[in-house]
Amino acid sequence: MGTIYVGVGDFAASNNPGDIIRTIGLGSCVGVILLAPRQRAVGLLHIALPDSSINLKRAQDKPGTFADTGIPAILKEMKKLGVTSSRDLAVKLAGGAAIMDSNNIFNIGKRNILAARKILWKYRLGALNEEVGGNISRTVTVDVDTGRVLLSSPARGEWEL
Amino acid sequence: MSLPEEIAQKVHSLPTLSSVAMRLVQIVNDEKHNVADMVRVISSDAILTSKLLRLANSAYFARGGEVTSVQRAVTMLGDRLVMGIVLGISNSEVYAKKLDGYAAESALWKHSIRTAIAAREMATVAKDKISPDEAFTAGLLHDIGKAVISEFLKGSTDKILYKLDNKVEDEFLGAEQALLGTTHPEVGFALANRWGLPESLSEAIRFHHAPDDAEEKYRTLVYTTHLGDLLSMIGGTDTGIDAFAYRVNPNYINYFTLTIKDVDRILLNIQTEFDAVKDVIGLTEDED
Repeated sequence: MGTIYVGVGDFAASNNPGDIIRTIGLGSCVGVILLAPRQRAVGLLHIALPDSSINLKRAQDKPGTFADTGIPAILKEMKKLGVTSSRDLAVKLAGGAAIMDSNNIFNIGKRNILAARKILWKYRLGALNEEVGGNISRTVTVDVDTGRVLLSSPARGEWEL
Repeated sequence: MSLPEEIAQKVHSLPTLSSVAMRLVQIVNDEKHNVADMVRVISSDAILTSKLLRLANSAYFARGGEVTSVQRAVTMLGDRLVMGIVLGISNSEVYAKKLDGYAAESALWKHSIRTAIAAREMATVAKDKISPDEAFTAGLLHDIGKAVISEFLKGSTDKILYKLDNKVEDEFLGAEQALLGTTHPEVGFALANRWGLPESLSEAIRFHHAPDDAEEKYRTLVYTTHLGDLLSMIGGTDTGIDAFAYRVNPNYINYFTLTIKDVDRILLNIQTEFDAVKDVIGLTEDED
């Protein structure tokens, strides 16, 4: 029982009562939150980039870095906790903030969100709820006991997703 | 431009550089300086020496073989980089404090190191060749003004967020200007002058959000600092309420050729390098 911190490109799943999983300051990164109420298990993945083709070695060492390798990796973790069917999963998405950029080349947040949705769709998963984009950096906290997902941001307090 | 009285006083009340850092800046500013002068000054401070050697041996900087002498560290890292590192580690007043006025979740040091890494990365893809080490140093120093004005923003965060969310102000700088009569780059410039930093670095500090206003000869350096800062925020290492409240200057295309794939690759390199250095400089992974 404790708080599990998920760094950039990392992921964690838990069904331990009392555990909390947290990732801090998503910025343009996207947090993929998986909730399995029937198995009382949750998972959290912190994606930094859309596509693993830019660095296959990194994808092997740290699959959570990319949407296309991170989502299968976290689903595998959930499977270890007995979540074998996508019907048992509710998905939430957060993050993907953007700097103001008229050329959009630095809008990595948007590309991360689109990639995450696309890969989830391959597994017949769609987000039940999402808070993405905009100009704020979000911290995500997931509670194993209740399945509640809380977002927070500097000076903006905390709210439920 | 002159600073509002209160803030000018604050700039003058900040500690000047430690005598070691001050002498080092003077040495590096002198075109005829040599490595031996730097080594002598650094070696006179045992704590600084041990921190510098630890950094030189980190996964980020190490280039094969253990670095056991200051001489070797200076030769390997280069003058400008050593100066930047010494400024960082001997200036806890500026770098170690939490920026409460910005509601920052970590000290300025963390954002500064990531920006330094990002600026260095951008220097390697710039059309004009500039020193990646100088870009690193400029990145390390770009936000020093925030350490000065942070306390003057305290109590105003709700007002500032309201203005940004409702587009009363386009960028965070407008909110600083409205509230304080100045901005963090201007205050950083005043502090840079007080410290006697070289002109290239003081320009990078002053114009890191308005790179086209910098002198042409420093423009590439200033743009690497501009984009380094924004890439650091994009990667999730920001300084609080001003995160993402800035605009990319689209004229960067005159100084860099970048595709979307390049941006992805650069962001990944920054992350990998930041992971390699943060343990060494005491940045643990965000525990409360």
